[in-house]
Amino acid sequence: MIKIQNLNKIYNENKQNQFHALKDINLKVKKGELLILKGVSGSGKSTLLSIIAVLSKPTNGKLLVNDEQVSRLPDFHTSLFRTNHIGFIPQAFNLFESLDVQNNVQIPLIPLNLTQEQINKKVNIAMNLANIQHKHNQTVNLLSGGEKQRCAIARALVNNPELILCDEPTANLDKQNSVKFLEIIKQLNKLGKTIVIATHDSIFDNLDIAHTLVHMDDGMIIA
Amino acid sequence: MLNKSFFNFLTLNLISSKQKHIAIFLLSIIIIFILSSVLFISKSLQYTMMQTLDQQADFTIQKLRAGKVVDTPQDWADEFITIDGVTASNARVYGQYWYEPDEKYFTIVGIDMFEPNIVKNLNNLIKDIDIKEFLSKPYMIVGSGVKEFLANYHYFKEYNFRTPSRSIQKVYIYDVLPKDINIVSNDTILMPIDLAKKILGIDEDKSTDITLSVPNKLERENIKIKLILKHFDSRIILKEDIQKAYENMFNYKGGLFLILYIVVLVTFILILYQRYNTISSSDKKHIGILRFLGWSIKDVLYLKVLENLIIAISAFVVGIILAYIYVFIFNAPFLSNIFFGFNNISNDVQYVPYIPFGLFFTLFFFFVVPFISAVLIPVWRVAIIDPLEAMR
Repeated sequence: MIKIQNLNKIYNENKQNQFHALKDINLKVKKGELLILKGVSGSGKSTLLSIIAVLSKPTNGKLLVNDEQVSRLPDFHTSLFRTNHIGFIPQAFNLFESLDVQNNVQIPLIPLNLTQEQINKKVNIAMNLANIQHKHNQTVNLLSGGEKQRCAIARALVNNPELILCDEPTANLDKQNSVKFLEIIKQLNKLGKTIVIATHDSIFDNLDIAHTLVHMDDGMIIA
Repeated sequence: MLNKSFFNFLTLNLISSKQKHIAIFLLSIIIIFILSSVLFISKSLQYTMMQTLDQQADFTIQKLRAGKVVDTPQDWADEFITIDGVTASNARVYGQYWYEPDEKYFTIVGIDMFEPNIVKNLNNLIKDIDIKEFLSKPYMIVGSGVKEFLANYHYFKEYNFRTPSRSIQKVYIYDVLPKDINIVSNDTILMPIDLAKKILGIDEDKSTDITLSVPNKLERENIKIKLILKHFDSRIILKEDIQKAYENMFNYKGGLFLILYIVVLVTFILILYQRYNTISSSDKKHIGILRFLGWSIKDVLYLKVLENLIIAISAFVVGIILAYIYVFIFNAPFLSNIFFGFNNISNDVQYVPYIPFGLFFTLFFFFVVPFISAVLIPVWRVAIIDPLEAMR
């Protein structure tokens, strides 16, 4: 599903503060696979994730999703690609704190010109999957950390994406909520979703489901 | 994109960030309110003036001596009526009466009760007068400003005019002119023509000027030449000249306000631009999240433009409504002084609601377009950066 070839990311290229964040990355992720990107802070996991999510462009190299070169698409197409194919669960959740759960979850669907009925249906399915349906009317700033994350998960799932990306998903959670998150991930994986998780949390080391573990260090894949 | 969920999101966004928008909203209302009030006053005055001027005589002729205006022989009126194209000719008597204790003056207008006047609105003012009664005693009809002014000096029923021959002429107040024509009649006193001549010191066979009615516009230039040929020592004023003079006066005052408005507007737009340019971290984060969730740059700009369009249009509508109430219902207290502050006698004007459509369009165009532009550029600058960077 994802094919990364000789990919490099250099920040501030040809400037004094130039930083080579990703170095010759080659990676394949099959459809339905659960891939764990492990590495310490600054190893390039989040940068790689943002490039897979077409949130930033690589300096050189290729990113193919379903055999389509997506790394060089213009803004409108990358936005559409992100909405239709990718669900991203960021570390800081990045929710609209003053809106309720339901309104946060439906944000990715707004530009798609769906009817309100279609939107409501998709939102309900996503909230059920993320187990946050019971809080649909609750304003986000009144939710606990775990609930906020489930809201972010529902938002990532709302358009039924094939690929789910998670950046340090358990960094802001206690152990109990981390375990709950793992349960949701397992469930999504069973539904055939391709999942890439960037983490340094050891909770992902001994998963009881099939997964691929990739180690990163200093912008390179080392194992 | 412009579907129910979009407008729902837009509304929720506006409500949740109302504190952020309130200052700009209030400032916008104040600017629109002041500007519209000034324009409403100016346009209303201009309209009333032009309506009044439209009823004036087509020609006004004054006698000159050594380049100075002097009293005009009354028999000129009989002479001019013989010119082809002139349908009516009146000898007019008017002048200013100086009230020394307060350094103010009244405008005395003499009216011939037995001859129709070329100035149509003068005919309207005197049409209901009982001529027999009006001429039975020295009577006058005063503008409401004069009435109030005299009352302040305890002249409630009559006033003693001092004539140029140093005699005293007592004149009784017969009636007061309606307030809705205060713009032109506030300091006016109407009285029989002979009485006016006595008070203003005009000889019996003289008048202030002669007015002519020439309905055919194409004839006017010819008639002007004939008048000059008859009396080279005359000054001929056309109605169009007076209209132009008034228009220039209003354009001058209006122009001053326009410059002031532009200065205020530019300052406001700079504030707005500065505000969005130093866009708050939460605003930046929100734009970043939207981009992160698949909104294109165009979608984000749509949202922000509509968000600010709602603020600008609401402020525009509220400002206009408040200005309308202030000018046409409360008669623009304070602001009226800018127009009438240097007036002879304080004028309690009632503004006639007259708002041309073009005025709304101009106001809207010069307010909303710069408003949206000032917001659009900084928002676009945030929308094009890396969403992850914007969310940090």
